[in-house]
Amino acid sequence: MQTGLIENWTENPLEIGPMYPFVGVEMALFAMSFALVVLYMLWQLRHEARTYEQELRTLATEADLRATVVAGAPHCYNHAEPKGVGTTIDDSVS
Amino acid sequence: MENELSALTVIFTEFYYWVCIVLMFLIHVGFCLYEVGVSRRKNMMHTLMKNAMVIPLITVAFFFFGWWIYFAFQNGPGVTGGLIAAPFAVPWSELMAPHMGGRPTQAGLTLGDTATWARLNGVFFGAFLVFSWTCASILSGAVIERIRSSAFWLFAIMLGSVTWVIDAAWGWSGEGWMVRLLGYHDAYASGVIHAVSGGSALAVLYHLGPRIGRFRSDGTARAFPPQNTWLVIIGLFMIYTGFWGFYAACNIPIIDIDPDSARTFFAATTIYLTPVTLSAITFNFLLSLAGGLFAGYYVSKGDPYWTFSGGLAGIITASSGNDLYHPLQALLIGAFGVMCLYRLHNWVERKFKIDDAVGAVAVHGYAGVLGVVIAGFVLWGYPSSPNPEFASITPWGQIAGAFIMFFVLGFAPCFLLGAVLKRFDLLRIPHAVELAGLDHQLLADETAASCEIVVEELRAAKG
Repeated sequence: MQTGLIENWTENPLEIGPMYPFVGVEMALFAMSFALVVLYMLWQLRHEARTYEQELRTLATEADLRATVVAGAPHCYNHAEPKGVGTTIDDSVS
Repeated sequence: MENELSALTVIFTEFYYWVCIVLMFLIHVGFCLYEVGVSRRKNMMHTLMKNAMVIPLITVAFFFFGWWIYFAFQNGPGVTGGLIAAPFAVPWSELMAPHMGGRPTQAGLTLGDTATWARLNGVFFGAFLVFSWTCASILSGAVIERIRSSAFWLFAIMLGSVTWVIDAAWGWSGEGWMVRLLGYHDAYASGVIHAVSGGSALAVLYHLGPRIGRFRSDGTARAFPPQNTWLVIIGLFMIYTGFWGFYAACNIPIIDIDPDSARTFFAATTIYLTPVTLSAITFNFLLSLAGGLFAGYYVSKGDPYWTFSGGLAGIITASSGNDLYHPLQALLIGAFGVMCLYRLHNWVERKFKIDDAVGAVAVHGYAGVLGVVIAGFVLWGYPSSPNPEFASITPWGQIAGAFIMFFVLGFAPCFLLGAVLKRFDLLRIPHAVELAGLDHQLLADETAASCEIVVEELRAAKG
C-alpha cells in the first residue's frame, strides 16, 4: 500500500515534487471541503434562526423583555433584583 | 567555525531555536491563564502556583537526567541495542556550560562533539525542556482543585523528565527504535507529547476522583462553569500562539539532505531528518486549526470553551502528519478528530465519572491517539526515515505507537505512582479544605486585614 509518491528519501531532492498523499485528488478534496463549509453555514443559519425563534417565545411580552434586561444587567439599576414581571425600568431605577 | 557557510548555518540554527523557545514560553503562560480561569475563585492562587512551580522543578530535573535520557534511550535500551553514550548531555559535561567548541578537557568527548554541541546544546535543551513543561501543564489542568501540589509535582517530574523523554527517544528521534522497527511517524508530536500526557492525566484522574459536588447523587454531572471565561480564552489564544514556536522547534531548520556527497541540497527537516518546508506546516497548522474550530463550534453548539479547545484539538489531531498532509486533508482530519473526541469525552465522563476539569484527556489524549492512528492510514507506505533500512509508515505501526504513547508510557506509570500516593494518603487534599477552598486562608487573611484597617480608620475618625 502506498498513498504517496515518495518511496524513499534517498533520491535526488531536486526530483521530489508533491509530497502529500493521494496526489491527483486535489479537486475532489476541494469540492468536499467546500461542500462541508457550505453545509456548516446552512446549519448555522438554521440553528441561529431556531435559537432566535425560541428566544422570541421567551421574550414574547414587553414585561418579559424588561424583566430579562433588568435581571441580565442589575448593576445598571439601583436594585440588584428586578421587582418582577410588569416592573418598569423607571420603577427599578427609582 | 571554518567558513562563512558553516558559521551561518550553525548560528542561524542556534538563533532559530532560541526564538522558538521564546514563542513556546507562551504555551506555559497560556496554560496558567487557562487553568486559573477555569478554577473557582476559592482555588485560583493554588492553581496558579501548582503549575508555575513546574518551571523550576522540571528545569532542574531535565538538566539532571532528562536531557541525557533522550540520547541514551533511543535503542530502548534492549530493543535495538544498549544504552547510547551521550557525554555531552550529562549534567557535569563541559558542553552543558559555556563553551567555544574547541578541544575538550573531559574524557569521552571528541572534537566532533564540541564542534556540534557547543552552540546547539543549550538551545536544543531549552526547546525540549519547554515541551516537558507543556506535558506537565496538560496534566496540571485536568487535576485542579483537589490534588496535593507535592503529588502533582511528582507526577510532573516523572512525566516531564522521564516518561515523555523516553517516548521522544523511542519515537521522536532520528534513530529511535520505534521509528526503526515500527516506522513510527509523529512529526509534530500528536502522540509523543499529547497522547502521553492525556494518558497520564486519565490515570491520575482515576485515582484522584472527581471534585466534591461534580456529580449529583443520581450520577449526572454538575457544571462548574469557568469563573473567568476571558482568562480561559486568552490562555487558549496564547497556547495557539506558542504552538507556532512548538511547530518550528520540531524541525531542524537547515541541513544538507542530499544523499549524494558530491552535491548539496539545503532544506529544513523533521526530527526524523525527512525533508519539510515551513510553508507546508504553516498551511497545515492553519487549516487544521480551522477544521478544529469549525467542528468544536458545531458539536458544542457555539460553546466558547469547546470551540477554542476544538481549535487546539484540531491541530493536535493533524500534527502527526502535518509535515506531509495536503492542507485540506489537515482541515478534514482536524475536524474529524474534534467530532470524535467531544463525544468520547462526554461518554467517559458519564460512564466512568471522570472529572477532567479542562478536558485535557480529550483535547490532548484522545486527539493525540487519533492523530497518530489516522497518520498511519493516510501516510501508509511513506518512508519514515532517510535510512532505507527503517520500516515505512503503516497503520499497525502507528496503532502500536499510539498504544505505547497513551498506555505504556502515559497511563501505566502514572497509574502506579497514583496508587502508591493514594495508599499513603498523599494524593488528595483533605475534604474540609476542598470544601473551604485551597485559598481560604489567603482570603481570610485579606478580609481580616481589611476589617482591621476599617476599624482603625473609624477609631481615628472618632478621635
